Amino acid sequence: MEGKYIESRIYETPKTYDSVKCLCLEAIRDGFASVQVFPSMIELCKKTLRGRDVCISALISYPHGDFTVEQKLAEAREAAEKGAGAVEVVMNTREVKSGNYDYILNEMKTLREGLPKEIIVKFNIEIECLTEEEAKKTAEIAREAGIDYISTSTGLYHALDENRNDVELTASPAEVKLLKEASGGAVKIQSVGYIRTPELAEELIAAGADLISTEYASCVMGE
Amino acid sequence: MYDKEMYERACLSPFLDFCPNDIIEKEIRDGFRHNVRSIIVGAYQVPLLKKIKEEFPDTQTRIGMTCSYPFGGMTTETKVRQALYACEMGLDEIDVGINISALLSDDWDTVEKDLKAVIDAVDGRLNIAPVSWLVKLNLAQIDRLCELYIRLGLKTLKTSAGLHFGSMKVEHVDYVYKHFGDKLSIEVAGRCRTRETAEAMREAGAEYFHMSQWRRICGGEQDYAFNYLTKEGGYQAYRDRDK
Repeated sequence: MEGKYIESRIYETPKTYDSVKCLCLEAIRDGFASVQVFPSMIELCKKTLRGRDVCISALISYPHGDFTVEQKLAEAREAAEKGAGAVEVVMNTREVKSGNYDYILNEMKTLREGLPKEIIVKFNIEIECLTEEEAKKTAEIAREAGIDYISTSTGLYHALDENRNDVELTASPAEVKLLKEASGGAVKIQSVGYIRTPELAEELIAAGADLISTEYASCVMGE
Repeated sequence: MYDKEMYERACLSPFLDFCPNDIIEKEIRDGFRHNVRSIIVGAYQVPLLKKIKEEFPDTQTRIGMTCSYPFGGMTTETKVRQALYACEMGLDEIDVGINISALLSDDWDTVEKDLKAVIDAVDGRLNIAPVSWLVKLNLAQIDRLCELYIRLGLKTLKTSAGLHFGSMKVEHVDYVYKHFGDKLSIEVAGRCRTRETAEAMREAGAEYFHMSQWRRICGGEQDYAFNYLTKEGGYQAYRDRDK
């Protein structure tokens, strides 16, 4: 697995500063494309990375995507000003579940058009909440809005099986194919969700994923 | 069994990502009907919350908004901006995520500055409930955090972030109440999923309960749930890993 396909990701904030520094140092060591962090961690990442070629990607309106569109743009602009090269904005899934796709188009366009072109704009669509039809429609809108990446999931949630045991909502090659096809290949796909092994990462890339964003980056590198 | 007192201790947050708007509206409206303690929504839902509140002119239910919930990982600037929006919208309270990463790094100065900036911006116009991650803290950290809240003039402690970050125990409530209960009211959040647990926490000193299972715990009715495998949601019997 090549590091250029990997984004090392922090899911939760109960992490010490040392954890954030390690995330960055590991990214330098293994040549990862980017690190995914919370906005309050951008400055520490910038200081640790010292200008190395690792993109800092900031989570916006995370994890519920429940800011107004203007608030999302304000948070994204601030992240960019602080040193983020990419923003991962959580889409307002409730509006998708309500069939209000105009809202989603406006949200995506506002963010893309409101940020400098060199800032990569990703939208996290929380595919675990969406039906296949909703996911397809969302990908079509992402293409129309000129979004750079669709990020598939926050990777936060579990399902329950019939015995009430947790079922991890793991990223799948099928969802990558669906999104890639629906967006006509015009939007890159960032796969997220319990990606722990090089084998799964390779399957996702073979299916069309452009970036593997995972909390288990070293495992995916086979270490 | 319908329990008026328990409803009046319930705090709702019907903003989960899988909910369509008609369900969110129903949850908000039913919250007002049952006279729950408070209804807390995401920022974009505030106009909807206020509009529905107008249908209940005599309501005692407080309305509020999340602010860097649950992770507290937003910048101080964003937290202040969101808090000011809540003030402009005339809300009663905000649930603010504290900088837990700084706390776990023993950087208390940053924890304090972050929270104080929000408190200063709000300037007493609404109540602030800090999301306190007690499930992740040792007793020394809990002491220091509660002392910080009191020093900054806060009156409420929200115990945890909820979601799946760990279950609050009765012992957490008991500890905080015994040591700080005269200065901080305790709002439980963090997988309080049974009536028995809620009652034990109430006995231990909790005043309010932020809970997704509010209908079932308060009145034995079914709550809205979403099946990530079938992609279907609905009011249905309770299913959780807690047997």
